[in-house]
Amino acid sequence: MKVTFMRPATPETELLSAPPGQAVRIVRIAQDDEHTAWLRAVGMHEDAEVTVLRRAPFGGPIHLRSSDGGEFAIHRDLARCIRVTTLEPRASAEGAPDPARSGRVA
Amino acid sequence: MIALLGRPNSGKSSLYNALTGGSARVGNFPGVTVDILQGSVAIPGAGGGVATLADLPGLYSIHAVIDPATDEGIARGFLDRAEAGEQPLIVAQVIDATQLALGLRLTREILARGSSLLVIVTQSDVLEREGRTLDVQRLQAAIGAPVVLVSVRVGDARGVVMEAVRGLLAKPLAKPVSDWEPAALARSVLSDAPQVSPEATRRRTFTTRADAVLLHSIFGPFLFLALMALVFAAVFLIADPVTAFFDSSVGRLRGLFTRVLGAGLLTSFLTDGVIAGAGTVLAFVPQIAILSVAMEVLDASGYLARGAFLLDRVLRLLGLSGRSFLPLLMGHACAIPAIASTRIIRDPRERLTTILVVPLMTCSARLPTYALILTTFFAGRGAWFKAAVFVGLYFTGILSGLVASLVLRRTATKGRSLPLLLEMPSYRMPEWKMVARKGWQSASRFVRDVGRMIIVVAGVLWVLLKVPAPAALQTAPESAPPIEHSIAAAIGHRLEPVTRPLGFDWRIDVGLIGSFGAREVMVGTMGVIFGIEDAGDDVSPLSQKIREAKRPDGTPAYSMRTALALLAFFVFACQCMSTVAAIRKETKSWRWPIFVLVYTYGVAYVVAFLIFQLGGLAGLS
Repeated sequence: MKVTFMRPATPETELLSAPPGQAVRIVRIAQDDEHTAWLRAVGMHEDAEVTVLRRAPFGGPIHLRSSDGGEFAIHRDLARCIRVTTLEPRASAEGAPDPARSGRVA
Repeated sequence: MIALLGRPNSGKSSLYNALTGGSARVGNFPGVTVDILQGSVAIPGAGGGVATLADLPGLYSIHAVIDPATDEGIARGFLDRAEAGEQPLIVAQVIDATQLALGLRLTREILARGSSLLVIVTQSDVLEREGRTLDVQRLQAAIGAPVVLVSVRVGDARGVVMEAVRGLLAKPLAKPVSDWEPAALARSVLSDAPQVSPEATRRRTFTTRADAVLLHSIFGPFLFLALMALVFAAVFLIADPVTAFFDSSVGRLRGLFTRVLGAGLLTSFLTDGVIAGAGTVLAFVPQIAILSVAMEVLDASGYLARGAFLLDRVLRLLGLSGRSFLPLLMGHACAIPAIASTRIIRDPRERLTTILVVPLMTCSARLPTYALILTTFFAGRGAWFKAAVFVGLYFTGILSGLVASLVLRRTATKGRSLPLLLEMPSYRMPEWKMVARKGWQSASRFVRDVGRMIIVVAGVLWVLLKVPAPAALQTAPESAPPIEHSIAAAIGHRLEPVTRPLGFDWRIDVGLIGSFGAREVMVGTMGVIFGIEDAGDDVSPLSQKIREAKRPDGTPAYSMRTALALLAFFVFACQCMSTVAAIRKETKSWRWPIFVLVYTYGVAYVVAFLIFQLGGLAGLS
C-alpha cells in the first residue's frame, strides 16, 4: 500500500520551500551531471517521490526520505535546484505515524 | 580476489571481520593511496585454495565519481585495475537488508559493468525482528546473480558466503540482468511476516521516534552538545586515574633502575630519558583509547550523522561542514587520533582543512605548561581569574582554528566542495566486539607511531641537556652550573637574539627546543634547567625559581609580558612531532606537515611578538 495520491496540476516549486511532512515528486533537477548522478545514486531523480522530514536549525540542511526508503540530509543550495510538485500532504514529520524508514509498507 | 563493496553504513566492515576472523592488514595495492584492508579467506571444497579479500572504501555509486581521491574514486579505481588484472575477481556487494532498494541501485551499476557479482544481504536478524521476510530466490532470479542472506550476529555468515563464492567460481553468472527498477524490485521481494507483532512495529518506527527528539529543532542541538561535553568529561574522568596509575608505575620503575644500576650517566639516560619518555607516551594512551571507543559508538549507532546534520550550518560558515565537528572536538584531547578521525569527512578539501587546523585546538599536552605559567605569574590572583584565563585559552584555540579554516578555504585549500549529501542511517546497537577492537587498534597504533617519536625526543633531549657542549660553543663562565655548559644551553644562547623580541631568554628557548618534539616535555625541561627534580609532580618550587630568575645584569628575567607571550606561543605553535608525522601519514605528502609547522610557528611568533611589544608600550611590567 503506497500512501501517495497525485494531485493533478499542482504548481511546481523548489524542494527547499516544501514544508516538513510534505511528500513531493521530483520534476526536474537543475544541476550539473556530477551532482545529478550523486542524487540519482541515493534515489533522487526525476519522477521519484521524496518526503521532507525536517530542516536543521539555523537554516541548515534538509532531512528527507527518498522513495527507496533511505534518509538523507542535503544542503539548501542543492534543495533549491530541485523542482518538485506536491503530493498528498502528511500530518507532521516529527512524530507522525510514518511507515518506518525501511518502512514503506510493501 | 574478492572485493567487498558496499554503501557506507552497509555493515561491510562487520562482515569483513566475520569473514576474516578479524585478521586484517593494510594491503599494498599499486596506485592506491588510502588504507584498504586485506585478509585471506579459505574457499571450501576440494582444491578450493585461498582467496584475498579486499575491503574497499564505502561508495554510493560507481558512476557518480567527482574526485578520484574520494572514497568513491578509490573504490572505482581499484575495481578498474582489478578487473583488468589476471586474477579472477568476484565483486561481493554488501547490502543492508533494511535498505534494500538503495543497495540495489549499486547492484544494477555493478551488473551493468559485467562484473562477476555475489550479493550479500546482511542484517537478516534485524529484518526478522522488524517482522519482514526477503524472498532470496525471487531476488536472485530477477538480477541473475547469486544472493545470500546473512547476519554477522547469528548463524554462520562466513560458511554461507564462502559456499556462495565457491559456487560462483564453479559456475559463472549465466545472464546478469540490469534493466530493473530498484525500488520496485525491493518492494516485490520484501514482504511482511504473516503476523506483524507490536514489538516489530515498534522497532520499525524506532528511528523516526528517536529522531523526533534527537533532531528536535530546539532540544536537538542542546542534547548533542551535552552529549559531547559528557564524552569529553568522560575522557578526563576515566583516563585520569588510569594515567595516575601509569605515572606511579613509571616512577617506581625509575626508582628500581636507580637502585639496581646505581647513580650514573647510563642510569640517568635510562630513567630521565627513555623511561620518562615512555611514561609520557603511556599517560596519553587511556585518553586515546576512550576517545576512539566513544567515536566508534557514536558512528556505529548512527548518531554521528545526526550531529553533523545539526551543526552543519554553523561549521559551513567557516568553510567546514558538520562532519568536521568530531575531529575538532577530539583535538582538545590529542591531535593524533583527531587527525586520523578526519577520515569520516568525505570531502577531500574539507578534510585537509580540518587536518590543518586541528593542531590549533588546546590539546591536553599544553595544560601542564599553562598551569606552570599561571602558577608562576598569576599567583596573586584568585582561582576564578586563573579559571577564566584557562577558559580563555581554550576559546582562543577554537577561535584561531575557525579563523584559520576560514582563511585556508579561501587560499591553500580553495576549491569546489562536494555537495552535502549525508546519509542518516537507522539507529543501531553498536557491535561491542568492533568497538573494543577499535579502541585497542588506536591505542596500539598510538604507542607504535607516536610512542617511538616521544621516546626518541626524550632521549635526544637528555643528551642535549646533560652532555657538555664543545669548548668552542661555550658561552657561560666556568663557575656556572653544569646545565649552562650543555649543548642545549649553547643552542639556547644562540637563539636568544631571535626570541628576545618575544621576551624569551635562553632557558625558555631550551624549553621550546624540547617542546618542538613534544610540548609535554616543557615543564620537565624547565625543571632540569632550574635544577628541580620531578618538576611535573609539584610545580611550586619551579615557579619560585622562575620568578626569582635574573638576567646577567641582575634585573628579573621574566615578567607578566613574557608569560602572556609564552602562553600565546603555546596556543598557536604546532609543537608536536607526532602530529606532524600523523599529518604526513594522512596526507601522504611532506607538503602539508611542513605547511602546518611554518604557519603555526609563524603565527605563534608574530602573536607572541605583538603581545610582548604592545604590552611594553601599554606599560605592562
